[in-house]
Amino acid sequence: MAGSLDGDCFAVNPRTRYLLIAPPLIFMGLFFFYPLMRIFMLSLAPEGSLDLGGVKKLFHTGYYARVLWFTTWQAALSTLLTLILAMPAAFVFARYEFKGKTLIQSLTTVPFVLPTVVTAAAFKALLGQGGLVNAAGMHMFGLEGPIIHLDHTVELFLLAHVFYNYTVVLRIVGGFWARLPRHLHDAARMLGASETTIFLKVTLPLLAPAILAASLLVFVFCFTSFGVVLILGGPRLATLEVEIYRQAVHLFNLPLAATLSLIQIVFTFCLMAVYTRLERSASVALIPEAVKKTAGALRSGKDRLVVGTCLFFMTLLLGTPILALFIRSFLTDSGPGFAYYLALFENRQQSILYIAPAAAMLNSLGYALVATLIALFFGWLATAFLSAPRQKIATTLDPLLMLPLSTSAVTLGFGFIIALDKPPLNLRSSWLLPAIAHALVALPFVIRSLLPAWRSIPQSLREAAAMLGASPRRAWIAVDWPILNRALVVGAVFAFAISMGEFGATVFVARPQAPTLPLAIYRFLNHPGALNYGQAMAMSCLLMVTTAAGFLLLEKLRAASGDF
Amino acid sequence: MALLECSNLHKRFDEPAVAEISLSLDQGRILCLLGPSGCGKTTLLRLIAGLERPDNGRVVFGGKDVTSQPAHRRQFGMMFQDFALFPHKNVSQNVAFGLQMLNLDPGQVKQRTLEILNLVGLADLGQRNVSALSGGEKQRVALARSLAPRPRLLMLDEPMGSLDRALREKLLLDIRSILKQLDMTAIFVTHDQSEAFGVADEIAVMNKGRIVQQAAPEDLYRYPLNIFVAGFLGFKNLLKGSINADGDVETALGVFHPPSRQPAAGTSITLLLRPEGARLQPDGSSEQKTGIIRGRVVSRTFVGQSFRVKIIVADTETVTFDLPNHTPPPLVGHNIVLYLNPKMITVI
Repeated sequence: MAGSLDGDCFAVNPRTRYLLIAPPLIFMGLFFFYPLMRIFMLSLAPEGSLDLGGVKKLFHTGYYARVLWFTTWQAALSTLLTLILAMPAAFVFARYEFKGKTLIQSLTTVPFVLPTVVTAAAFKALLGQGGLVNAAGMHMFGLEGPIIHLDHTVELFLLAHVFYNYTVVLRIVGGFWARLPRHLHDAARMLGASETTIFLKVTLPLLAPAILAASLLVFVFCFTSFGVVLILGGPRLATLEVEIYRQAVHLFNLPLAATLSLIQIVFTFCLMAVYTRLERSASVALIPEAVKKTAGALRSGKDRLVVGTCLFFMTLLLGTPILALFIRSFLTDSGPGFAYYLALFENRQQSILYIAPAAAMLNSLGYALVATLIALFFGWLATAFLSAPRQKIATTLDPLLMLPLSTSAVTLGFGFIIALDKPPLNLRSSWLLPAIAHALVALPFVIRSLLPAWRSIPQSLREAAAMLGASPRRAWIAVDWPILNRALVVGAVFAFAISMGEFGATVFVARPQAPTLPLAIYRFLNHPGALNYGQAMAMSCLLMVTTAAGFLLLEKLRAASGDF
Repeated sequence: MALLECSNLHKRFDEPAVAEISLSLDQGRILCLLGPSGCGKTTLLRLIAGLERPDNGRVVFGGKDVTSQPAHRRQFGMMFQDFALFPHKNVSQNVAFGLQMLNLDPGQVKQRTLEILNLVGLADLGQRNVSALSGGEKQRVALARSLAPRPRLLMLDEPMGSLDRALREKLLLDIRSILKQLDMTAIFVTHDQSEAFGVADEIAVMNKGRIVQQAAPEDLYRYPLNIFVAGFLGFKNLLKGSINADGDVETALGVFHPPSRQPAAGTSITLLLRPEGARLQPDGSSEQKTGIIRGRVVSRTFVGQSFRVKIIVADTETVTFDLPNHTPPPLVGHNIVLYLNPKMITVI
């Protein structure tokens, strides 16, 4: 095993170590930097020579400025809404201790990890034309038509964005808040400050870096939001991502799509760079470690009212769409039943567009398996290299390997189809392509799961094993492996879940005859008919349950590994 | 020939950490490497352990050159500063680890684990998770673990570092008695001189990568070789002086007559007055010319077993002594006359 080099007490030839990092770098080079370079070339030099016409056109034609404006505007509004709605919850979770808090906190992660198509399906199930609210309204008031018309509106996907990003604010700000020492509050109190003054003059300034970091992250997520906008926004509303997709796939205007991707890349990289700086200075992590609790029990009726109200709105916002999805998947025309689920496994070849859901599920599982293996392989090698102490080059390579995290999936998928469709790298029709795309997206998560664990192993433990007579190999098995295998499982679950739900890149790279589950859901949602709709709901439910189960397992694993 | 012989050991990182060190250690002796942080004592230990490879020099153990032998083949033991207990193993599993590496059969492993846990007084805690142990218990587990495979040489790297004062003194005696009981040859690294005196048969004082003085504890205390060693041992009464024609030492405080090791007349030397060497001289009616200090009390503190008195002589030199507590010394601002036992004076 590559990592056993670490167990050796004497210096390993540094050149041998570079053999570890070579495969991940080649992988990144071929499937990340090369496609990005093709996008650059296509947009800046479509005919082979430098031609800035495409970029100029973008600034001269109003339409594209409008797309950029709409993208920024909706992202800003989504961020603001998420902040307003999630801050009270961040306060409650930071300051109060109550029964079931840990479970509720875990459950709030579920919306964040749901595949975007599932989120979209859930909101359609709740608030769409044939959604539960409308169905109930029509039933109760005996109306002919739906009472709310949210399909294809900005409001609907703004709500979905809040649903999706709620936990980002809750975790980052709440986690930071919980770590603010309680005695600062008491000290301000003793100096004569009122609760309001304390909040404005002490708490808020201290929270500012966390709020800023969370806002920035939410903004990036909304800025690059694709599936939700595509499905809930309808044909008239287009963010940058959706526009790239339309230009590339529907209108086949590749140079324009490339230029839009270029803008997308520049924007997200800048935003992520700012975020990384903030994260470092404020030491707030997206997934905060378990912290020493500064929270107190519910003492007064007012406390209970505050917590109760907060939990009520949280359930309303996060719970009802999921619940609606469940109900809709069982609620058939002929009453409750498993008809939609059973239909998934029937083979009805009624149209050429038809895809067998069961086959899509198998495809997804297969891709996820291969993507996980690829991501683990390269992630393991990269981590083995990066984990060595006193290594200057690691500080350069580490952010480099994180780049796929800040690249939009649509850009990635688009890059794939323009870069990997001709020799020497003609993978356009290869079944491997979706798996590679998923592995690329998952790679940063795998490295982020492994690296802290690997670095957390004190060198003295390895030395202790050596002094007790363990050879480097045996020392590795005794010391490194027990700590690493848990991190490896975490990385694997991450990679698997990401692959199962990936939509933005898959929509470009999956072969039409071999779609994944999210693609199948998307197509079924777009087809008229109660059965298609119901099957989309049923598939979404299955996908939701697998993803949620995977991530809840992760939470458990992470909590259990908190000892180290 | 000594059991352990190091010759000309040299190791540099950014600057020389260990420079040209030679030392030898006999079977069953406890050597203490004493020095301030950054003096190279831990590096020297790691060179001997095989955790670092020297740039130069040799480590010979039992007549065999082990310089290029990796740590895990040397059959040495080490107790680490932070104990380095395996967090995912319980107490017994930690102790058993080294025995398993010897490929002993499970029965033997179990038996010897129990024996050694008994020796350190932790027989009841075998199944305890190491994260649930107190500092003192962790230290015992670490000791037990390093002793279990019966190492040929045991190294202890600041093993008291993270423990509080009261616990240290007790555990120090325990460690020494256990090591002696097993006739263990050991090297003990510390920056704390009281620890070194408590545990060692001989002490090597290190500074800037070199061994400045190696001696038995009492010799080291009585005859520090230079100002660094004296200062590091905590001595503060260091006076510049010169040897007069009678062979006595003239200083700003008066004339002294140290018992031994007189250099030639006219030599400039440093005189060390040990703090416990002074007595109150009643009425100052002494006929003696040497060993008398007349001064004024600057501060006096009752510290239990003695009075710590700081005096100023001729308004220039200050010295501090620990006077017996049966006679209260003069109050602050009053004159004081002290007689210094010549045996408590050393020429450096």
